[in-house]
Amino acid sequence: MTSSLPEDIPPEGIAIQQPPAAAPAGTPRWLWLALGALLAWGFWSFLPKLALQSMPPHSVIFYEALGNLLVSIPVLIYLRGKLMWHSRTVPMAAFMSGITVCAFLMYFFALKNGPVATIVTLTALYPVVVILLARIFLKEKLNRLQWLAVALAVAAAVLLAG
Amino acid sequence: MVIEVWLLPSLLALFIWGLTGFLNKIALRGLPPLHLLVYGSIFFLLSACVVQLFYSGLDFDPKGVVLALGVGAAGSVGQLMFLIALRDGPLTFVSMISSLYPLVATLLAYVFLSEPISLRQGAGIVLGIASIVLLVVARDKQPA
Repeated sequence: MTSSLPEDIPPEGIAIQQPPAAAPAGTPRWLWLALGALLAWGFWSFLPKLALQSMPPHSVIFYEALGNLLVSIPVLIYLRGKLMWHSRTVPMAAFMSGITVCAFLMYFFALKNGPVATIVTLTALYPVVVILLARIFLKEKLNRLQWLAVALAVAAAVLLAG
Repeated sequence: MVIEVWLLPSLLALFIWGLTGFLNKIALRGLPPLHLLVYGSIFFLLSACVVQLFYSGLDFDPKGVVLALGVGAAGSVGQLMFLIALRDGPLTFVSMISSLYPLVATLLAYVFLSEPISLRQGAGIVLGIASIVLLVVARDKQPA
């Protein structure tokens, strides 16, 4: 999996950097990465429906957790086994993982009892929650064109629920 | 009015994923994406082990196990790309673009489960692609 990592990531990890003063020409790297996440999460959201045909949700979650390690262990090797410690962020990561497992239990229960496209689409609306939280706590703003894009994305999700 | 049994758990999952999407942005201030990914996997496994305490036993079906492993691997690859994109790009856009993964899931459901794509869903796919294009075009006009 390390071959899939960007070449400019140093073995010791990535430091949070200030954005460059002038944006480079062409498609930004973050856009390609976001599209890659879109593809990977397409499989991630669909495959549970197949796995749940032969196993219950709690078992699928356990093996999914092992599947996560298939990526994390190579990443850990890439980092030469050195994990940075941050007294506030690490407990936050633990909290996020805990509630994510709860979310997966509910998501798998829904998938087992309902249509894939509708449930995947409904849960994919989570950026609306992100946007609300980002506006409240991070004071992020959008212009009109970007609001239109957000509205289109929400409309797309609603239509896909068909 | 009949409420489908899958609706409430779906909405709860939606809220939790929204919350974790926001918390990821905060967490990236303290740790780089790769470190956050590894911590997340470790804690996810520990949380999954805790869940097993509430059930009688772990099921094993070879096909199901392979599929579930694929779920975890695909999720982690997506999360890795998402975290790095989140570091470099704006939270709202990265979240919105990556959230269009139902396009992929719908196509997979059509191919492997023979779930038909209705005219309405087809329109949704077109709108979804349009929103991605619009997000790209609009990125230069993002307010500071």
